[in-house]
Amino acid sequence: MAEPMPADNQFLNFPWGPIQMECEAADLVIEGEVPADLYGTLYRNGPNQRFKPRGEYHLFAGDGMVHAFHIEDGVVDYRNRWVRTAKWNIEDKEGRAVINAMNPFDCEPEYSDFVLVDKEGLANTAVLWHAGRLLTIEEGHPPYEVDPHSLDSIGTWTFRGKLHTAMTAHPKVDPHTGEMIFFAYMATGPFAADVAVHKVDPNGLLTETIFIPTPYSAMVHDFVITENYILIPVMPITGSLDRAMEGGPPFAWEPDKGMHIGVLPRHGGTAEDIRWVDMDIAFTFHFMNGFDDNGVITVDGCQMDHAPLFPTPDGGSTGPTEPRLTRWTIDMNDPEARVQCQQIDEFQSEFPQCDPRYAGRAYRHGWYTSPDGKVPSGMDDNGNFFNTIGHYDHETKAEDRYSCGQAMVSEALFVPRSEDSAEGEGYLLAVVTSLETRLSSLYIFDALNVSSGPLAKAHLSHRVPPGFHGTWRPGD
Amino acid sequence: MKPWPDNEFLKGYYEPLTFECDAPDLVIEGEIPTDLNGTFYRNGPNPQVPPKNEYHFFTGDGMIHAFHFDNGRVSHKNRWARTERFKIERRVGESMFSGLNPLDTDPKYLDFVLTDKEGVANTSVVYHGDRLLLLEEGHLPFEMDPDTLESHGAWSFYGKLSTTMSAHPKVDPVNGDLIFHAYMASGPFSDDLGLYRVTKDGHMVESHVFKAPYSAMVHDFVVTENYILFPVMPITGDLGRAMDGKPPFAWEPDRPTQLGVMPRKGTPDDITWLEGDACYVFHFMNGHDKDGVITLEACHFDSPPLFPMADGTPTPPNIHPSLARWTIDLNEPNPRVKMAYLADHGAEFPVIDPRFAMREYQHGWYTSSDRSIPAHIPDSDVVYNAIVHFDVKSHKADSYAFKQGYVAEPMFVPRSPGADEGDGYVLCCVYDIPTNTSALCVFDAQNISAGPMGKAWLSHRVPVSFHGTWRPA
Repeated sequence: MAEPMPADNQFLNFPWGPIQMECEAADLVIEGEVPADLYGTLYRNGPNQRFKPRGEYHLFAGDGMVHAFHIEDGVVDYRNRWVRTAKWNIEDKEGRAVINAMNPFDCEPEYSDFVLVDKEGLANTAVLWHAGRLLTIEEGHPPYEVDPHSLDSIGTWTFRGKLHTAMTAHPKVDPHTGEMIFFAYMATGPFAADVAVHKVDPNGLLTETIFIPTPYSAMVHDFVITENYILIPVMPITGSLDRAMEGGPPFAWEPDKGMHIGVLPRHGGTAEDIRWVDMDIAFTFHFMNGFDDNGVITVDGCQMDHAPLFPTPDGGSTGPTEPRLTRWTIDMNDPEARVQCQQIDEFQSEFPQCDPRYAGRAYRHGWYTSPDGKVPSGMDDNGNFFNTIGHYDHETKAEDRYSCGQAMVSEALFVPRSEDSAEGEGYLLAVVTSLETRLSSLYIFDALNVSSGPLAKAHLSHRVPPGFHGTWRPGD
Repeated sequence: MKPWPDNEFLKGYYEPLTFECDAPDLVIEGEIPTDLNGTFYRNGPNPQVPPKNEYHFFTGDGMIHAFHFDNGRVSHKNRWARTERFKIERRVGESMFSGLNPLDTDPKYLDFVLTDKEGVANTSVVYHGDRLLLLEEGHLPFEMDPDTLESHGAWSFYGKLSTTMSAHPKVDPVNGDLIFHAYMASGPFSDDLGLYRVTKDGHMVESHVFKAPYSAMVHDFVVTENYILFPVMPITGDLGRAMDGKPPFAWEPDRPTQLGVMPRKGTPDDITWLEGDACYVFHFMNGHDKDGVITLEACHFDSPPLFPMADGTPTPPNIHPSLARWTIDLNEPNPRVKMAYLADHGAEFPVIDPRFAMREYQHGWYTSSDRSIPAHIPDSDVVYNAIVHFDVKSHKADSYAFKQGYVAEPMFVPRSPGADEGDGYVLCCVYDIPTNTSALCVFDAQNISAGPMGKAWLSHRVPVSFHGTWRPA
C-alpha cells in the first residue's frame, strides 16, 4: 500500500507534490481564445514521485512525468504519463519505493547494485523534440524516448549505441543547421572530473564526441553555444564519492573550488583546444542565450550568489539567494580574459527562454519566470513562489510583466507565430497552478505583450505539479 | 470548449472533471483492511460539455469512478459512459440536448432524443449476472466492462426489456433475483409502471407493464419477502404542461400519494392502492413484512427539493429529509400508511447490509449533516458532511462528521460472507474542501464515530455522485 508522503518535505506536498494518476482530457475548457495559428504540442517534464521516497527526498529525485498539451484549431487536448523507467517498473511491482535514486547506499539490499548500473534514471528534468524523437532527459543518464502521441514509454535512446555518457537536460539546437549539441558531466563515471561534448546532426545521428577533463568534478546543469563556441561553465557544485562514503552529501556547494568557464571552439575544436576562463564566484542554473562577435562572447543567464537547493559539504544550508538576469562578456582576444559580469535586470528571474530561431545568435527578446513578492513560499531558498512571467527586451529594456496572482507558474516556452515571423513574434506558453483552487491551466500569451495578460487559458480539472522544462513539437 | 455556465451545480464539488484517468496506487492514510477486497463503483453526473440550457444535475453525462481494493492497496479509475448522446456531443464539441425537456433539443436531434435507448447513464450502478449496469431510470441500463470500464452500450436483457429501468433495483439475498421497476414505462410522461424480475444468472423471467394512478417520477420502490410496494408520489410528469412551456416535471402537493401494494407471488392485477397525504421519498432504506404487517424505513420529505411547482415557481428552500418508518397493516379492513419519524436529523442515501435486504434487519447507514458547513446550492443550506449508523431497533445513532468535507452515499461491505449483520466496513467517497481533492474513506461499520480507519487519497476531485455498488473480488 502506498504510504503518505512525508508532511515535512515541501517538495512532496502541495503545490510541489506529485499527482497519483495518468489521464487524458479532450477539448479543455477555454477562457479567451486560443490563436488559430498555434498548432503543435507543448510537452512538459518534471519530478512526480510515485511512492513515499526512501530516506531524504530531493526535488531532483522524483519519477519523471510528461504532460502534453496538444493545440490545434483553437482546441487543446491534454495527456500525462509517468516515464516507465527501470526504477518505476521495479517500484510498481513492489508497490513501494525500494531505490533511492540520489544515494546508491540507501536502496533495498536486493537493489543495491541498481543505481550503479541503471541506464534509465528518472527521466524527470526536461524533454526535447529533435529529429523525430521525443526524448525525456535527466542529466544523470542517457535520454529516455517516449511516443510523442501516446506518451507510451519506448526506452533509453543511445543514438544507436553511440552514446556512452549521460545527456544534459539542456541540449541546444542550432536553428540554422538543425544540429543538436549537448554535453554530459561526470562523463566517464560517477564523480569523474570530466565532461563529454556530443554533436548530433539534423537526422539524429551522433557525429562527434569530445571528452574533456574539468578542473574538478562538478554538476554542470546547463551550457551555452554560440555560432563559434561551446561554453562549459564549471561552477562549484562538486561531486565527491569520498564525501558520500563518509555519510556527507554526495553533491555540495564548495565556492573555494573557483569558477572555471571552459571555452571550446565549436568547429574543429578538440579537448586540447579548451580554454578555461575564470570568474568571480556565482551560480547559474539556466542561461537565456549566448552569441559571439569578433571573438567577444556574450552570455545571458539567471545568476545567483551561490547555488540554492544544494547543501554545504557539512550538510548545512547555503542560505537564500535570488537569481537575476546577468550578462557575461568574455573577450577571447585577451589572453588574460576573465568573465566580466553585469546584472542587466532588476527583477528576479528563472527558467529563461529565447526565440529558438535566434539561439546562439545576437538576439533581442527573452522571457523568464519571476515572483511578484506577494505569494510567500515558506521555503529556505526563495521567499516567494514564482507567479509572474517577464518579457525582457534587450533593446528597449521596457517592463513587460504579468503576475498570475495567487499561483505558481512554470517555465514559459516561446513558440513563433510562423517560421518567418519576426523575432519574438509569437506566443508564450506556461502552466499556471492556482493556489486557491489547486487546479492548473495552460496560459497562452502574446509573447511581445505579456503585460496585457493571457490571450487564452485552457483549464484542467486537476493539478499539474510545477515541473522543470518543456519543448514544443510543431504540428505536422 | 466554452467555460461552464454560472450554475452552483457546476462549481466546486459539483464541477465536472474533464479527464479520464488511472491512478494505480492511492496514498493511504491510516489503514485499509486487507480483508476488504473488491471494487467499489460510484456513478454520478459529469457533463462532458457546457449544458445548452439551464443545467439540472440529474442530466449530466454519467461517469463511473471505480475504486479497486486489493490486500490493502487501492487504485482508482474513472470513465464516462460513452452513450450515443455522449458520442454525438463529443463529435460536435458542444451540447445538443436539454437535460430535462426533450422538446428543447436541437432540432437536428429531436428524433434522436425521442428514440434514444441509452440516455446519460448517470444515476446508479449495479453488478448483477456478471454485468456492470449503469442505471438512469429514463432509459435502458447501460453496460460497461467491470475491469476496464469500457462502454458496451445499452443492455436490454437479450431484447426482453423495452421500457426504462429504475436506478434502484433490489437484489434478493436469498435467491439472487434482481427485481426492478420502471416508471413512465411506455414512453415519456406515460402514466404506467413496469415490474421486472431477472434471475441471478441474468435472465429476465417476469415482466409487467401496468397503469399507475397518475404519471409520476417514481425513483425508488420497496421489496419485502412477500410484497412489492410502488410509491406513486406527486412529482408529476405532464407533456401538455411541457408543451405550454411549463415544467415537464413538477411537485403537485394537491395530489395524494398512492402506495401500490402487490403480493410478490401475484401480478399487477392484485395491486391494492393505498391513498395518503402528499409526501416525497427519493430513497427507501429497507422494508420487511411479518404476518401481513409491512414495515419500512424511508428518508422522508414533506415536500421534495430539486423540483419546481407546476407553475414553475420554486418549492420551499432548504428542505431536509429525515428517517421515518412507514407501517401498513394489511389485516385492517382499510389499510393505510402510518408514518412516524425515527430521528430528527437529516438523512439521505440510506444503505443496509445487503444480506438483510427485504428481511427483518437492524442496521442502516446514511448521509447527514451536522449543519456546520453552509452550502451554496438552491435546495440545501448545509453541506452533507456526516455518516450515520442508525440502529432501527434501538433508534440509536452513531455518527461522524467531516469538518471540511462532503460525503457521498455510503456503502456497506460485510467483513466476510458469514459475518453477523452489520459486521463489516462502510465505504464513503469524501470530497475535501480545502484541498479540492477526494479520499475514499473506510469505516468500521459498527464504530462510525471513531472516524475512518483508512483514507485512500486521490490527487484530484471526485465530483458529486449519486449511487454506487460493490463487486466482491
